[in-house]
Parts: sequence; C-alpha cells; structure tokens
Amino acid sequence: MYKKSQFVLFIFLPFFYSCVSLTEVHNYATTSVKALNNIDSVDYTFKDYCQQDCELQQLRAGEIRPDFICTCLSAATSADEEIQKILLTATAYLQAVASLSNNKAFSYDVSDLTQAAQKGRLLNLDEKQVSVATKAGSFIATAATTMYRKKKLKKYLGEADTLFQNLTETLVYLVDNRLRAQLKFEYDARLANMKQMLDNANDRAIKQMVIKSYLDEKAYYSKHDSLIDAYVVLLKAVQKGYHELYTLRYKLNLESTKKLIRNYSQDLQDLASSVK
Amino acid sequence: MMSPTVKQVFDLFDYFGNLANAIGEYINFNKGNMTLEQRNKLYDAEIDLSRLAGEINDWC
Repeated sequence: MYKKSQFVLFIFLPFFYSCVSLTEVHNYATTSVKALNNIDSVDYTFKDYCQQDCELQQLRAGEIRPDFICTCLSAATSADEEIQKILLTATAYLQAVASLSNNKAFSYDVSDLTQAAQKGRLLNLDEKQVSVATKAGSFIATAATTMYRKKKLKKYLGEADTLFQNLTETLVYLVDNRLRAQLKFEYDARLANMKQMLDNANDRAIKQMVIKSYLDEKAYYSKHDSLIDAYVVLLKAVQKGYHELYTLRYKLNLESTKKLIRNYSQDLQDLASSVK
Repeated sequence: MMSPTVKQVFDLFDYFGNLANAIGEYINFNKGNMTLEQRNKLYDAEIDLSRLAGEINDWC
C-alpha cells in the first residue's frame, strides 16, 4: 500500500509541480479590467457633445422652438456604442487572462463580442482598424468557446498580443484624438458665443452672468480634458503592461517577473484612482 | 465622384477649426476698428465654423 502511494505520488508529481501559482497575473488582469471600465469616470461622450451642441443652436436662435430637432443624436449614440464595443472586446481579453491565470476554464456569452467586431460602421476608423477590431473579437470569442485552460495561457498571450496591442491603439486613438477633439470644438464654439454676448451686453449684471458662464464652461472643459488625459495614460499603461506580459510569458513563475507584475498592478491602481 | 479618405476628412475639420481660431484672433486684434455689426458677423462665422468642425469630426 505504501509503495503504491509512493508510486502514485511519483507519477503525478510533475503535474502538481507544473501548477505554478499565477496569482500576480490573475490580480493584474482583474485590476486591468476595473481600470479600463473607468471610462465612465471620464464623464464625456459623443452624446454629451451632441446635446450641448443642440443646446447652443437653440440658444443662438434666440427664441423658443418646441419643434427643434436635434439631428446629431443618432450618429452620436452610434459613435458611443462603437467605443463601448471596442472596450468590451479589450476587457473580454483581460477577463480571459484573469480566468486562465486562475486555473479556471472560462466561458461567457460571446454574442456581444461577435457583434462588437462585425456590426455597424466604426467611427472614423480606417480599414485596418476595423479589421483589427473584427479579428480581436473573433479570436476572443473562439478562445472562449474552446475553453482554454491554464496551460494554454502562454499560447493565448502569444496569439493575442498583436491583436490586443492594435486594439488598445485604436481605443487610444478614439479617446485621445476623436473624443478630445469633439470636446475642444464645442468649447471653442461656446467660447466664441460668449465673447459675442459679452461684446453686445451693455448691462454690467448681464456681463457678470456671461463671465460666470465662461468660467463654468472653462472649468468643464479643463476637467474633462484632464480626465481624458488620465484615461489615455491608463490605456497606454495597460497596453505596455500586456506586451511585457507577452514577452515574459515563458517566465511567469519567476520571482522577478512576479515582482514586475505586482508593480504594474500597483501602478495601474494609482492611475485608475486619478480618473475620478 | 471619389469618396474622401479619412485623412482628407480630418484635414478638413482641422482646417475649419483653425479657420475659426484665426477669425477669433482677428476679432481680438481689430475689435476697436470694427462696428458692432461687423464684429457680430465675424463672431457668427467663428461659431459656425467651430460647430462645423465638430460636426465633421462626428459624422465622417
């Protein structure tokens, strides 16, 4: 009996040994998902831009128009949805890394991912960016349905790296470039409108009200511009961190790698707290 | 007619944005030499161009 136990232990020891702890990777991936979901804290969307622009148009008309139609709402909503879809694909990738490093198979509803990659036009994206989003969505959906397990983590990181890097690049571009530009254009238009109001006002009290309005607009613009800054820094940190994880995928159980990942995780938590 | 490339569209909204800023600067420097009516026309142009740049950014 004793000898039989020894034999069993001897045979299965290599399997136990290969089950190295990937807690750091798991924690890092979980932190990354939370960090990316901080996009809501930016508190500015294309829909916000559209509503503010329609408000400006009505103010400039100088009369109450109950029949005013805000024509940008549909396109703005669609633009916001596209950003959410790309974000969903990126966080699905990270959730998969979190599950794989937690020694768990993963399975989730992939219909949104397929939709994210295939449905509708992507705002201001070129063919290459659209193709990246499609490939990333399909890859993650496939990975999810084939139930990758822990031992497949290296393979997953290896196959997905380029896709994830390009996908996050697209997300950076949409937030840092397109959404920020929208914020700036609306601020510029409102600023010019307030200058005109100030020039035309003779009453001191009205001038003060216009100046108060200017200060509020300026504060709104600065706050949201800074939030976009902070979120973009966070996105780039995630992008860099996962490329590093890819290059170290065969050394994930080394203490030096674990320490590095812990540092990345801590940095990400600090950055996420700045997007508030 | 050929469709514009993404770059051409971005160049266009940059162009309108820059034009709006240039008008704003022009008003600032020449306000004293203009009538209220002239100023208002330029302000209107500045606001419209800024809005147009924003719209192009969103619709293209």
